[in-house]
Amino acid sequence: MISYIASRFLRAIITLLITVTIVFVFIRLSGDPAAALAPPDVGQEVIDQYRQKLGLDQPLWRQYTTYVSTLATGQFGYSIHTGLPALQLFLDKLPATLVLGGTALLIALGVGIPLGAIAALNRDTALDRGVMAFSVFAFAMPNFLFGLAVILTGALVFGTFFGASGNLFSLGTLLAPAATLGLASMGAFARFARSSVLETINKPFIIAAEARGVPRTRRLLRHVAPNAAIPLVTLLGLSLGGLIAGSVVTEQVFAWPGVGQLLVRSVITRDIAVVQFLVLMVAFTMVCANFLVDLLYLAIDPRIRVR
Amino acid sequence: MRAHISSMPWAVRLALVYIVLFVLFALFGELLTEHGYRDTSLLKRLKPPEFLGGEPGYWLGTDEKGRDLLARLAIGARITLVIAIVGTLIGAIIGSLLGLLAAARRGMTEAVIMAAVDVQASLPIIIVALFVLAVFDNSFLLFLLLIGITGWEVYARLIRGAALSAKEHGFALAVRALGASPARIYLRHVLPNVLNIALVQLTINLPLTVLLETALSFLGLGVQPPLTSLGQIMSEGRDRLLTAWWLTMLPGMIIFFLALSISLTGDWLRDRLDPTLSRLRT
Amino acid sequence: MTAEILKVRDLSILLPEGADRTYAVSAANLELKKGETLCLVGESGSGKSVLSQAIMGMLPPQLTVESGDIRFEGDLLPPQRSKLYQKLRSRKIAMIFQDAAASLDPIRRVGHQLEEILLVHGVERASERRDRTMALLRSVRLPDPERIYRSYPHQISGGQAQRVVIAEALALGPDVLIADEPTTALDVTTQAKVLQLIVELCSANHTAVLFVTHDIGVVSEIADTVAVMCDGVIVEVGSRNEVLETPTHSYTRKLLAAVPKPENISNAHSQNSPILRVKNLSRTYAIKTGLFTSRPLTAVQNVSFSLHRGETLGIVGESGSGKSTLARCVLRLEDPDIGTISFNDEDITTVTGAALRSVRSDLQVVLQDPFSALNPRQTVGNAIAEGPLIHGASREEAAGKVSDLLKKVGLPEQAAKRFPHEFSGGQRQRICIARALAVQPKVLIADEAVSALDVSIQTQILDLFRELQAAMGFAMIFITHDLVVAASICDNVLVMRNGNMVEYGTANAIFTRPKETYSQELIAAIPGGIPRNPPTDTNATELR
Repeated sequence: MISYIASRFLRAIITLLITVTIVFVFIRLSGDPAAALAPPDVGQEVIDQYRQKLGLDQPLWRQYTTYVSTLATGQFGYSIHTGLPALQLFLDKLPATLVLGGTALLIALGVGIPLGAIAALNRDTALDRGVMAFSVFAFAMPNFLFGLAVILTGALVFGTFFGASGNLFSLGTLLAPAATLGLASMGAFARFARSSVLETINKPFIIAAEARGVPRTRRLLRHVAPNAAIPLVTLLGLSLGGLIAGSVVTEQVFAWPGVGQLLVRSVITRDIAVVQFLVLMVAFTMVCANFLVDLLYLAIDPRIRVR
Repeated sequence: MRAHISSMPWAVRLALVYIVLFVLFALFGELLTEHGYRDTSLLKRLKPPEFLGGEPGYWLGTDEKGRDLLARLAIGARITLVIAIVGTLIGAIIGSLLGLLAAARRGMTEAVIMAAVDVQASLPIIIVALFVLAVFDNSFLLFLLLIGITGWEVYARLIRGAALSAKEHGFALAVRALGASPARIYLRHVLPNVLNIALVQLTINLPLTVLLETALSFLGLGVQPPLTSLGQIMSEGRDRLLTAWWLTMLPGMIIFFLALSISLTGDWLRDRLDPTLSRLRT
Repeated sequence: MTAEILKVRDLSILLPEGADRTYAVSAANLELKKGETLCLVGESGSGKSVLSQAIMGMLPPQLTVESGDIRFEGDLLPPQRSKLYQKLRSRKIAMIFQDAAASLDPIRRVGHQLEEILLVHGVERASERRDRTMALLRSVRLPDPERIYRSYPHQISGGQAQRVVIAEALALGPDVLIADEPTTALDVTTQAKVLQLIVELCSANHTAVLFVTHDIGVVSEIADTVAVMCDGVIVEVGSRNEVLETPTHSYTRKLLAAVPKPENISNAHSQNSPILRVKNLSRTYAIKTGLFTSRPLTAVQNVSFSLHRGETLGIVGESGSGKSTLARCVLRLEDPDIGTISFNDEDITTVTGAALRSVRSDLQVVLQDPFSALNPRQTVGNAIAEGPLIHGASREEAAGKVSDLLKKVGLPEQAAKRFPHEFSGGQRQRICIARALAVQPKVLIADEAVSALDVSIQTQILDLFRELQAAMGFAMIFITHDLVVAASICDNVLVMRNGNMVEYGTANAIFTRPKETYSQELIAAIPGGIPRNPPTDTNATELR
């Protein structure tokens, strides 16, 4: 078990290091990092100071180690446009994104998994086909189109704006963007839950439990559900990536003042320090999430926990 | 093959019809109108589609510069199609070859390739694309490359796994015992048997590529004017959502139905090709 | 009241449309008396498992009972899949399955799974459930029942899992136990112990047993009554002696004849010099135990043997004995750590390039699983022609070889244009043999080549091996876990256990007078013994 955790941890660290390295290489390729990272509207001597501070007069490997250690001490550079530290900009926008993403994930899990399970238990019925059709629909629906359609419907039918206005954290405001963001994951969860339940329900140990006289409800809750949940944990990690990617577009559509919007604005204005920091944060979040998923496996699957 | 078509569900047949129509529209759609996709006409701005009482000669209406939406959609569809196909192929070829290489060479080569797969898997492609577009100047070629790497890691992982198991398969062993060279084993025996998997993944990846291209263009970070794509048309029409909904909804629906049709066809294909599924069925 | 506890009357079960026959089970009649053991014998697809599912009320929804009924103690059983069955299962009728490990929930502790059965059948008090569970685990003679109680299924061995499953089935003292091939997946020595356990426990509790099997040896060991099933029809029912000694139905006779029997074997081969000589061969793997740690696993240790032209050497052992690794080393598909392999007095242990390629045409292999052994995307003709083409034959020569070999292995010439999936398991194994022989090998290694096949097909393939060997003169290494098969085809036998050579000698010597305890155990464990005592060969020479 210790070696399982250690190997996963090592993998996470290596992944992060490689990401940092790639970001470093790209920024070095793009031009003068001192100009990009220094606060805006400063004179040449300050940039030179930065150049020295960043060690740009040093050999490349030196610069690399300096870059890594700068990041490690929490210095992530400043925005060209606001002059604020990238970290602060990020933290300002984080709550809005967390609430939006969290709600979307809850909707995706809370609706998707039951839908998939119900479809599996009613295999080859109209209900099953309906759920499968929904999951294909959710996969193929671009979230910007869905979001715009929701806004359009809101305006034409209900006469309200379904976007960010007033209290961001009230359910009424959250619902439309969160549903838009969660739609794709919901479809994926429904589809995956269906196939996982279908696979488990035909396993020999479920048939054996039936032969022992274990009632159906108990078989489903005590044997099928926990076993079918194991592969879904993988999807949990994957869907986080989908949610992060989706939030970039969804926040744009609903004018949601979150990290995604900050990222798009920074890309358009080529605010490299901010973009770099946000990319690293995404990588960090994903790596942490995948590590947590591995730990979650440990908790629910004894085949990994005890050998 | 006739058996295949007759066993096709109606949804898949419709999907195939839509795909064919889409391709025809992308190739020849501009012939449906006499207006060029960049011809502006300030007098005919924001006209709704003709059947909703718009300007005669502009079937699908006009945008804020008075350009014919039909002509723009045709060109946009063409660009979207080109990017989707080229992009998907780039990812599929790079990923599959890396996967095959990892399975064939093992050791350090495999470790490096799989570490790269891990990194890619922890960075959503749209984030990578945004980062690269922030650092470098946007050009059509760069954008195409970015779309191209979409999903390469999935191909690499799938093909490596399939090739490793095919390698352990009895027939690969038997052919090795016959004295076949590694190249013969991989190209004649392993590759044809993992190609199915790559093909199925292709149909999953293709709609994702379409969605990524349109999403980035929608954000204003993809295809740049004067060129256009379906996502770029939506991006331009976004500010007039409530007054000229056709500018966003029409290209949006075209994208949605394209992604839907490809996925439906892909699902059907996967069910047909996946030997584990057919074993379950019998 | 009749003595029958279970009675199946005129039971017909319909297969879904499009299946290869109309009925899974057709007009079946079966009576099981109190406390008796009835063996239901048949090959795969005979309908024997469907029949036992129907008795459990667990027919899959695609299968429907068309007519007939099943009575338990004179009362009609509820309709298939009815809720009423729940009370009967485990209490009155219990069932155990072939793959015991798979019939345990992988993420729940073994003890808790046993307790669950007691719970759903109304044992309310937790302490009572625990006590009874421990008693059950002891009753199936599991070592360290406390540990087994706490273990997850992946932590116990296959034999232990089968014991746990038996404990589950007998937890509520059922009147009838249905055992569906319960020992097929087990090694021969484990199989013998599990069989003995089932027999003892059931006779102690007066439980009647419906034992579903394809193995005539098992039948002769445990059956009171035998029912023979073929294509959904019960063709013969009678006492064990009646059926085994004086079978009336032609299918039964065919089935009995198909049991491989020891041949009268001469040892004339040892006169000439050996074609293949393996000396002190060892192969060790590194098993990863942690991130940077590994421990060595010795798969083969210090094995030596020699093989003469026209001879058949059997390498016999249970799973994990290292016999397949040995084969791969000899084939040069894997490199041994220590030891030498010489072919025609030439050391081939480390040859590479062209020399290795020429050795490859001399040493060929037929693998266990005929389904994975053929490339599904290659026609049969191309598969057979590939070897000759690699070794420099022209297209015409190769095509000639293909039609010649297809004839030799008993397949029509048109087979060349078809794909593997159009053939049955036995036919595919013929194709694999043709492919191996296409390069005219001097040594053919058959790695469990008949293990995946039904009994009657097994015999056909064994006969084919013999015929081809007589005609073409190759030597053969026959790797098998099945001692009966080994006894029927081998001149000499090498017994392996945990990578080591246990005993090496003539087949006669080993099967009639095994010297080592393990060989004796193995032979004693063969269900029903080796059929028809092998004729003693007084001239049998020891090779070791």
